Amino acid sequence: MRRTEIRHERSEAITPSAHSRPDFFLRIVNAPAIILVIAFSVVPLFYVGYLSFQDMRIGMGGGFAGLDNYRFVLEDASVIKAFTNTLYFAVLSVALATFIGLGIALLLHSDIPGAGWLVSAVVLPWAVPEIVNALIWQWIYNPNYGALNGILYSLGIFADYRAWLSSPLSAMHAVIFAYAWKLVPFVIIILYAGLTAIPTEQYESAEIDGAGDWARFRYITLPLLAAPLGVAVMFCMVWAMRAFDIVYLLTRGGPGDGTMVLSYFVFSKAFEFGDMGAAAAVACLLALLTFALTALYMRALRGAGAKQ
Amino acid sequence: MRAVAGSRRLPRGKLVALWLVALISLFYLLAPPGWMLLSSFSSPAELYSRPPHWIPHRPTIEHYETLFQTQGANALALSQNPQVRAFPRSFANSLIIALVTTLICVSFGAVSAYSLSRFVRRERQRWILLGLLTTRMIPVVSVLIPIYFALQHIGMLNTLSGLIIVYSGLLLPFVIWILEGYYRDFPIELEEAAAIDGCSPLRTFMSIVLPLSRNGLFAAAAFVFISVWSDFIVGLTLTSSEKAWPISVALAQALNPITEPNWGLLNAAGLVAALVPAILAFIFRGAVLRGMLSGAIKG
Repeated sequence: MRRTEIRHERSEAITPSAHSRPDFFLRIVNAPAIILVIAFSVVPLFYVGYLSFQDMRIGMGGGFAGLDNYRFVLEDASVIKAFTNTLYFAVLSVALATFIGLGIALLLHSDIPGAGWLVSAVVLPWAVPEIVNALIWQWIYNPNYGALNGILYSLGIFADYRAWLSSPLSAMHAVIFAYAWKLVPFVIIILYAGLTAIPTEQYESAEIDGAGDWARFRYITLPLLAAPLGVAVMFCMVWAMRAFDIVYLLTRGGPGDGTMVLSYFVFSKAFEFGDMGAAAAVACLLALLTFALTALYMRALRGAGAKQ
Repeated sequence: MRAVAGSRRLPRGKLVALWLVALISLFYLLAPPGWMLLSSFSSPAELYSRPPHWIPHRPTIEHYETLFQTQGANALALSQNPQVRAFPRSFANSLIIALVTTLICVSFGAVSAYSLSRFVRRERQRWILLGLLTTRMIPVVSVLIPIYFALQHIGMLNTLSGLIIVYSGLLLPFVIWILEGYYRDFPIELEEAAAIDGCSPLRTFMSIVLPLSRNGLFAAAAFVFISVWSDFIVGLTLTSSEKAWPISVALAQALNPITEPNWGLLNAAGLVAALVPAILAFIFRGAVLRGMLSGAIKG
């Protein structure tokens, strides 16, 4: 997003459309893209807004419902629960991913042998589809044969195997731990690039001034890493708020509503219970939440830019 | 860590602690896919002992043969995990869907991005770009209900072509957005020279701009292919039988929560499903890294 703004400034130099007019043919080749984007990206957004004001329970109802759907979902304890679950899930998994990602990025940036290879190795988990990530962790958490149980059993920490996903609290944390895994590579890449951009002279002059290791990390690395950290956290938050695959495969929102998050709630309300109106209302709230998060971030970015 | 661990002045205890944290983090990152790899070559007996054999004593490729139903296929495992029968078909489905969507998105996306960067007035351009980026931020689950109705209306639920047009519509905005940025930095002098020589804009685009923007196109193509291949929720909602299941949905179906699946077999399936995007990401790692840095790439 910051890139767009920079690009706008730069574009003042070139003057589009001054040299040539689009010919008729160019307009025709543009048509398919425009139609596809409008049909599947623009219209659905407006339509889901429209649906959220309709009574759309499958097999009954119909017609305008005013704010009934919103009233219904905002008074529904399970929606409130899904909302707090989503926040808890997103904040904790992003925090965990950021902490681990920062550690690995620092490790890669130190002069350990093979760091270049490790950076490539780190990109690979990023390419693992989320559903495969879910499969791996379901296998690790397996109550009868899982690796987590196996490790704890071998180390003598637990005498018996446990069902990690069958109590709400441990299920939630198991899902968070599994989802953070998917976020870590992104955090590493962003922070590693941020670290490489810090000029070494800064450290050298600080060392001459007698700054210790912690002081150098605290007063040089961390402030200069603030912008990349912000980018990483913002994007991870936006993704974590909509996490679906991992919840679907590991817990289906259960046990009880222990791991029910908003995206799974929308899916289940719409396609399992057939209440399209209520699902659309929650879907709109989720989209608004994402917009609010992005807007907040962009404002912070602009504020930081103005200061410099 | 150049600032922290790279120094001689740090007490040894702290240094060891830092390295320990770093190593645990690396283990967390790399052990799960490693365990998937090992599991996929292990027989059920080795996996189901307590604790499991971490390194299979007698590695086997049985699971891969069962998965693709070749000669060495284990008929019993296949009958106990009937959903796995859909695997070869859904693998092919995903390949077709991802390839065609990539083709559509990159070709139409390139034309539109170029037109947008050259032939649209600036105020308007700014709004269009903002709009494109906005559609990107919307959670897919939020627009899935209308998309479901739309496909139902035109009778394209549970078809490959239905999935292809939906993925194209969802991914095109972002492809246009990335490529527009690419074309904006493109040297306009080349095009001016072509115009003076009497090239039409289309001709200029086809024979000068396109070949020179290869790298951007590859990055966009890798992004689209990986996104389509990795998608689960769209495929889950819009398909209802193995006829059109993409690979992610076939995998989820095989992971039946009620009966214990054959884990060696499923790990093999998961590995095959992850291999395609991983290979792509490795080949195009430069483009992928650049894309990630611009906040571009990611489901």
